[in-house]
Amino acid sequence: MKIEEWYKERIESNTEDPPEKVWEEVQNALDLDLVWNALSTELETPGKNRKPIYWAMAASVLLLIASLGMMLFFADVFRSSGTDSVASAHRPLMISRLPSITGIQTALPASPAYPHATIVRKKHAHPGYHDLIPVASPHFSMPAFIASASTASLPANTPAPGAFPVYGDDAEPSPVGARDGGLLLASEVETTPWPGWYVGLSVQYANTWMRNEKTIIGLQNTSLVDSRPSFGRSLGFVAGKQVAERFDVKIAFDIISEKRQSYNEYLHGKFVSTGLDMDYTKLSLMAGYRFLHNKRHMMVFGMYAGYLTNAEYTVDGNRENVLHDFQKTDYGLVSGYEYTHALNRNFLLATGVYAHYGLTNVFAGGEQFPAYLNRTNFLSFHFGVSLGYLMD
Amino acid sequence: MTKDLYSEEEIINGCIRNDRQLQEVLYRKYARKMYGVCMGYAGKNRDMAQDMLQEAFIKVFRNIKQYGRKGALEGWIRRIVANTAIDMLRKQSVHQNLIQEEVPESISDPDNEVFSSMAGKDILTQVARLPEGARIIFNLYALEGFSHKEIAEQLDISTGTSKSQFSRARHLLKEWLREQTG
Repeated sequence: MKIEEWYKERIESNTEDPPEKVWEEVQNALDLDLVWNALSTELETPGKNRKPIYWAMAASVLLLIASLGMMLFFADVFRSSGTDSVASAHRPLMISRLPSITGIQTALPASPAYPHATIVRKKHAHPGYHDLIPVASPHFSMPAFIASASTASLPANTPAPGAFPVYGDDAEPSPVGARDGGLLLASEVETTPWPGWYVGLSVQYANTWMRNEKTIIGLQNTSLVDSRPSFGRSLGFVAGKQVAERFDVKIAFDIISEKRQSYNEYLHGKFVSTGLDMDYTKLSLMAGYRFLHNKRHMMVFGMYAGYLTNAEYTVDGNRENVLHDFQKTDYGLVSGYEYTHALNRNFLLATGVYAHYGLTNVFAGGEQFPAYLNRTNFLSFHFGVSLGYLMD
Repeated sequence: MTKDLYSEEEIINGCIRNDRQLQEVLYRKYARKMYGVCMGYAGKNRDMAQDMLQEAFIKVFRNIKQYGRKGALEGWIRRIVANTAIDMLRKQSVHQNLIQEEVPESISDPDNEVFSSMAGKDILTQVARLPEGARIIFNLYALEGFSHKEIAEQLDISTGTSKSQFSRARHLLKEWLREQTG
């Protein structure tokens, strides 16, 4: 074998790997190429990429204005219509807190079996329809009922309209009603007894997706990146109030709201697990619409604003703080479905599913890699449980 | 593993799309062999070999659209690596780094001499001892298969210089290797 052939064979059978920094430098150079190309494109088409942001901002402002307007409108309607709307909404707890009872046309003593009960006929009650609502509040001194009843079912000694009993403040209510004279047991009455402000704790478990090019590529089978379903938790406080027959307002403050995105990707010659863990403190303002007859089902919609408190990138178990790579604030839209259930007169349990959609690009970028080259926003699907306590 | 995952066609198309993952697959596939080539040109200077490799792969990715798919991809990459190495070494002037000493005619030239009994790394060590100009000429002839005419054009030297430098380099290497083996 000639020396040059031996040399060639030796060179081509090299077993020494180049240092990893070589590949990193190659990547840096290619990133700069991308930046340069993107900058050129951006300069050629000024403003092109900003339009969606303007549209999103405009939509957000409109939604906010509409939500606030609707809340104010229905709050006003509620105040002006008085107890009539309350009675029709089957929310007797509100009676004790209303400024007037002008909407109730007739107040009647109940059957002889319950001499202290009171029947109130609604202003526009359907003849023959009997509907009894127990007034279950510590502010009432006796079992009392708000009902619609036909004139024929009323006792002969029906008092004149406006003869409404005066209630005391210290007696416990009775949980029972009566069937005679069209009265029903309390357990048979559907109510949504949460007219006042309630506050409580909220826990959510969320499937979070970081929407950017990498994640989307990772959902394709042909890629060396595999985007994995990722889950995070939220923990915080919730407060809410019914402002009209079918409308609620709700505020949620999450002390911690975890956003996660994990991958399995080919790095440094092998497949490794990587992931981005971001923690937010989040405030959500929502409006709810109660639907169906019992009004326990509610569609919610609104907005959220989040403040980033921590961001870490994990590669094969090694964590690196990347807080400076991301915007401190994020905001977006919330929509969902919620089912509310009164555990008793003081506690309300609500379960729901919600979707959160971020409107901002959370990637901050830098001098070498501008933010618009890696547009990133969050989409998350939450399952939540909250326990509320009636304040007044 | 990568061969099972992707064909060469898929890797090339991925690199054209600037798919970073497939760029990495291409890099991992050829980096080790090309690093050996770079070490052949750079001699003892490992940092220079790494710079060569880095520059060469950047050129590969930037120009992969121009790869005509007529020859083997490895050959195309190899040519880029060699050109990059020459460009980097040329800056240090090939002319000033040629072998000046005359090689005695008495040294035998047994082409069929068996060197494989020697440790593999010895040949690399001895090539690294060659002056830079002579090393480039030796590499271009031995590794790239260039003729002396092509080498002369590439390095802007005469064909005679290329021939004599290659011959001197070859004699010196044999002598040094014999000294090593005692």
